[in-house]
Amino acid sequence: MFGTLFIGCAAYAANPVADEKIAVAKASLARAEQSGAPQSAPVELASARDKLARAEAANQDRDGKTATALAEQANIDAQVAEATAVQQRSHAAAVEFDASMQALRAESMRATSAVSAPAVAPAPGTLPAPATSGASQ
Amino acid sequence: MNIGLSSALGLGLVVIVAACASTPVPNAALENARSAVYTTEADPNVGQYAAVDLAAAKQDLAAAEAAALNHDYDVASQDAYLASQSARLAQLHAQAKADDAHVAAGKVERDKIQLAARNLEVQQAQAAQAQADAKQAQLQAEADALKAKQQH
Repeated sequence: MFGTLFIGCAAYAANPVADEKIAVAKASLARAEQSGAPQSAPVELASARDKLARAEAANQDRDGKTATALAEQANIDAQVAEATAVQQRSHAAAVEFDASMQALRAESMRATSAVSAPAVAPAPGTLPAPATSGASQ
Repeated sequence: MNIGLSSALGLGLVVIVAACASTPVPNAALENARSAVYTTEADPNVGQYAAVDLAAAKQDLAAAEAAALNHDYDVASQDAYLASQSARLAQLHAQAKADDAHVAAGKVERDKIQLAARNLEVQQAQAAQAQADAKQAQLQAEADALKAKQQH
């Protein structure tokens, strides 16, 4: 019973800056978990979870400086995990779109040349290729 | 003797450095952050689509460099890490937005191709109709001529 009281007091006395950074990191982590990061960026996500847990432990130990630093790192790691998932989705969509465009162009060229009318459709390759995604796979 | 002197000096230096800094200089972290920020800055997509993220990364790097100059190596290490990750964030955001823009531009082209294909179909249908009408008129004329011949 006294133990509970002590933990309650410790939580109450915790560093407000660390508390805020931990809350921000938690929100970023929740967003990342809902954005497909568990599949796209499991390593970054695991790092964010681990750092958040250590931040909370440090905060419990009243080590506000360590808690703040770890929470900041957990926050940016979670953001990177989320951005990785978003980037991979966008890239896959661009690749798929390009494939469908290529099919459409080929079909339109066939239809146009069948009538031997002047080409109406723009030639393939008039648009730049999708951005290369090298940063994270 | 020379070697003995220089190694003694070296050892002294190590002792002094170790005494001055409880945390080692985060050279690797700083170098990482510098190269991450410079690479990100050179990416044209970042300038166009993730300028805010890049600014955050540069700010973190500047803070890390300043802390290192002040021998505040804990802060330098932390800010260097944040700078590296902010730079990655800038690159990821820029790539995603560039791909989205590529698809958006492609959709305009796709609509043009589809419109052209529909116009072509209409033209073909109209041509076929005109041909059928002409044929019909010709047959009618022939039938009329035959009828006229029979009556006379």
